[in-house]
Amino acid sequence: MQKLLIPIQGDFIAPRFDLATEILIVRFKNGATTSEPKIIILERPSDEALCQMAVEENITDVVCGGIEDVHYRFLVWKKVTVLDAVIGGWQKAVEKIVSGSLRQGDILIKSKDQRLAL
Amino acid sequence: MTQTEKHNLTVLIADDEIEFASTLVARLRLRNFQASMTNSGKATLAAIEQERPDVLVLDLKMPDLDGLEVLASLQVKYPSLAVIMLTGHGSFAAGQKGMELGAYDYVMKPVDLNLLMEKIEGAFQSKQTAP
Repeated sequence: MQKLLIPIQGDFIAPRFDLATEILIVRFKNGATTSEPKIIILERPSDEALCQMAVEENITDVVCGGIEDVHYRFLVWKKVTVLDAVIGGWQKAVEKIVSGSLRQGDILIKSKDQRLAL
Repeated sequence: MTQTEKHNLTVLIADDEIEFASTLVARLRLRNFQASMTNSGKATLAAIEQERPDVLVLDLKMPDLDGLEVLASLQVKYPSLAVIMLTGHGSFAAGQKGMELGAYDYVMKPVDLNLLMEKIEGAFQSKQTAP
């Protein structure tokens, strides 16, 4: 079982980890999601709060846009797999990481139905 | 009927953290709530006078009147208004104080959107079924 965290901004992956005010959390296993995506609204943007949340929620994977090196290293030290510099819609990112095809630096093209799910 | 189709409640978010409040408003609108926001206690009282929302989501800490003062005032003027308190991380006591003053429930930040929506609907239903 893996647990994914994505800092988001509306329908998109937040361009900066430290400026995100919305978080998406979803569990997945064997190529499929096993929980409904959960959206959490932060009181204010905080990269340290995000790192703390990743630890408290036992996150195994983070997908994000730009992230400070210190926070990247912290998450990796906590055995979290971090795919950064990913640009595009978060729904596509979830599909790709669940299927095992998401890579660091991927640019994801917005699909037509991106706004429908949440 | 899907979850989103059955909403359409009017919800006022009162919080001086503008980015937080606007994000919450945007998310609730995507789920078919008619959401709006205010950023101070006095503005909240004025907005309730004008808009008469179904549910008020009220932050504890605001610059002029705090959430508990606003709540106390509302209980006198609009006792049928459903109120959910928003509290900072770990502020159980303040949330419970709000419930003693008549709030339906409280939610701690950071806010789980699904949980908040459940409480909004629960707060509205409780006022509908109240004698």
